[in-house]
Amino acid sequence: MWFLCVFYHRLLDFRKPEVEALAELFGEDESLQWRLPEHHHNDTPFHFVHLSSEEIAQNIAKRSKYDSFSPHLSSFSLFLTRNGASVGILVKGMYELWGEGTCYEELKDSIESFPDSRKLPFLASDSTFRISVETFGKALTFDEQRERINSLTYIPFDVNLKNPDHNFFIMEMDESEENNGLQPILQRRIFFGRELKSRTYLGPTAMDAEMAFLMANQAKATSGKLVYDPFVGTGSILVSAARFGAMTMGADIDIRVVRDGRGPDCNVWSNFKQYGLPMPVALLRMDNNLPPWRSGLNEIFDAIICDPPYGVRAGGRKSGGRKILRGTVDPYTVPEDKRTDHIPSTGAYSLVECVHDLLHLAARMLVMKGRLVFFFPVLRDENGSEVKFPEHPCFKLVAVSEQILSSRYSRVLLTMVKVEPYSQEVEEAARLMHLEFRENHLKWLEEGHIHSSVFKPSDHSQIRADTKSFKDPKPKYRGKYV
Amino acid sequence: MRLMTHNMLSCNIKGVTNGFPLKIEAEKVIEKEVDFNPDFLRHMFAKIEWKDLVEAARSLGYAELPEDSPDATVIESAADESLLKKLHHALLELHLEEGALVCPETGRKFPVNKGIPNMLLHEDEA
Repeated sequence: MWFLCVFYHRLLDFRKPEVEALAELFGEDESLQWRLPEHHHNDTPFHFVHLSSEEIAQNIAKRSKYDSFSPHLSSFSLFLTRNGASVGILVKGMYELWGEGTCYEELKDSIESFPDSRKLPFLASDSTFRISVETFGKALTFDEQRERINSLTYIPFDVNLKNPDHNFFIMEMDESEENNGLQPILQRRIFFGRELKSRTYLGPTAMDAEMAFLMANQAKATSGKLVYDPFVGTGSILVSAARFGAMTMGADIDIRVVRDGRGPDCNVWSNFKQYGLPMPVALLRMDNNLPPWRSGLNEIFDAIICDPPYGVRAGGRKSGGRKILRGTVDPYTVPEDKRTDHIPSTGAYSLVECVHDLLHLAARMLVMKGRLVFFFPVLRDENGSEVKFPEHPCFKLVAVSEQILSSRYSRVLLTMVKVEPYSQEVEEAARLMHLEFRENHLKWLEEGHIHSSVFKPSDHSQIRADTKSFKDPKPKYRGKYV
Repeated sequence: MRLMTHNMLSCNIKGVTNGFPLKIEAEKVIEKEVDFNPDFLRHMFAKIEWKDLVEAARSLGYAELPEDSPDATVIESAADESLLKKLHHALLELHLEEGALVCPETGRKFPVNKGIPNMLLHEDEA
């Protein structure tokens, strides 16, 4: 069945992968497809999606009233659902399309040709309706809205504005403004559809919380699953996974963040307590480069979700100290009496190595079909040369979503599914892939280069010279990247 | 630190071959209630080393688990949940708040503070 999916106009790359992951979570088989409305560009908020049942579409769009607002970690409170079910963060609404057209005459023909068998269950005399008008890129007066609703007299509705059984929407849009000379994303179109969820206002969103929920959705976090974050930090990712019902586990090399946070009421534990969520099953202080898992342990996590340190803000670290890792100094032995409180020194941990350890961990510890979801930094290349992502023979890359952070620098959320079991042979193939990746990407992936790219002061002469030839493939909406 | 975690950890000092299971030195043990989730427990049952869990539970004062690993069918069956409830208690509700995990081969102690084990190695152990 085809549904109209209306997205929030934000984080464009993340929209469809999220719906696809949720559809799979809710039992969708192979029949998911996408289709664009006529003359709409891929960036449009309107997409037709084919799903095998209305139930799946409803689950993706489902929302309920949010829990009481808390001033401290308010960003999370806006996303809480009463029963902890996963919801699409970027999905504004899902509709069963009853008709469409470029003008109201066409809309009428389209609605009249929509099969009666599909309409009648909702036109029964004991069910009530509300029809609302939503416009995109323009505003209508109350009278103009009423006029449009009244024009639908050919559909025998029984109106109830306060507590209708079903909500219908007329969605009207005109051609959107030009974007840097690119084709407009919307053309004049009118949709008429039955809403698949109950309407709730969510309010302004906070990026961090939103992204944590997106990641949890990409990983299909849900009740009964065990989700692991090897760079847990303050635990925002685990909080979102726990909100969706998963059991969680986290580790970090920095004990202070894990144990103390920013004070007794602002650490990983308090995040969970605040929302009445089950605490993480385990929090550990460890080094992903030297993990303490017993050798027989494998295929235990259903998902691994993380935001590894890139060396820009957090600065990845591993045991050993800089001079030891470089080989200029031999490992030293801590005197016996100083051992108990000794905080081992840690040294620079390059992104490439860090990602390799992550893939190795995931290959061994994820269940088959388990998901690895993590951020990976990329330099935005004006030449448009293809970016290569890290690979591992156990994994299939199923989604790539770019979040632009500045004119030079983006991060991509990679979703990988484990499709091959881990073995010694696989490990050997993986090692070769890692070496090749390191060869090609070492120069600009090393922390130093990312650092200089992000913080390099812009060169004014460069900007002037490039303005004419520079073609930004990512359009801006209202001056911002989405 | 829960026993589920303990069941996953071993000493990883370079050269150590027999780092599992770590001996528990308990200074402060508490019990915290956790929601019973049979699906999760069944998934975990397949992954744990039973005998080591029994031993670890005993060292924290809980001796209700049977010595021998139950048959998978007993765990899978929805009928009798009493065994699952015992597993639930041992695996998730017993907490080592303060203490240490000791390597059986080298005697090296990994401290546990505020429920968090510190498994980081010193510079000369890596």
